[in-house]
Amino acid sequence: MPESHPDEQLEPFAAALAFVIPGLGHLALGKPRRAIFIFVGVLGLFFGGVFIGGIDAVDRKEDFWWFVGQAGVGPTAFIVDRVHQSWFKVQDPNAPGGVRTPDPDENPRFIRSLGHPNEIGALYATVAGMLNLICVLDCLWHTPRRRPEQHDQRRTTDAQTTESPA
Amino acid sequence: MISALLLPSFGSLAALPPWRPFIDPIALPGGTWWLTLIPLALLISVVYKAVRVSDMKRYVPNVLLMTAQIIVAMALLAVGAHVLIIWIVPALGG
Repeated sequence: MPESHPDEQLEPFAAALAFVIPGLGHLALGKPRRAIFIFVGVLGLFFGGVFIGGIDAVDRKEDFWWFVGQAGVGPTAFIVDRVHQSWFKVQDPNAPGGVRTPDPDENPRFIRSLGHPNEIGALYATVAGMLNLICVLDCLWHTPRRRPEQHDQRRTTDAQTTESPA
Repeated sequence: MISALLLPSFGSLAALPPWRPFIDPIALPGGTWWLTLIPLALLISVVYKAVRVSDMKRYVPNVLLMTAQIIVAMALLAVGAHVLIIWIVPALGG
């Protein structure tokens, strides 16, 4: 039997905000410090991945399964992918999806990300998306955290309640 | 002229555009790619502990501890994989 949490609250609005901008959901729940750490951590990972692997680390068409994980970052991932698809790819009816990465002698000038930089960049961005999903779920089924002294007080009260019938 | 003499077989490299951050990939020096594990572990810990820690006074020690745990675990996995692939598998093959 899963443990029940009587204090648990369903917060769909905060969860939606957390998906739109990482950390915004926790800010809406009145947890600004947590929100800042989530914002810095998730976007730091995502843009760290783009920094290492280049914009090619986020590619909905050529690296679809990586992008499934990266999409957890929210609209930011879709905007970066959109910029990648429309500004740094060339139209090619023979290519899957109608676009492809340009060759070295084609415009726009673009250095394709290969090997370790590509793998590490995609990994950073995907981990960012998966961590943001944890944050979204934390906002959705939100359990207000008590301060340690409140927690101890609650424990004492619970113990007294259990002992009193005997 | 000089670049053509110095780079006879890499003439096209001289024509490459300058590196553009966040568009072009970085050139990781050979053998240093694994150092990217450290910021990865740190940022994972920053986000995960922001959700999990009940008392934010213990946040920073928790983040540092989790970062160290990830790095040590990855190093142990690397040692284990090295032992398995370099020593055990060839030994089993005779």
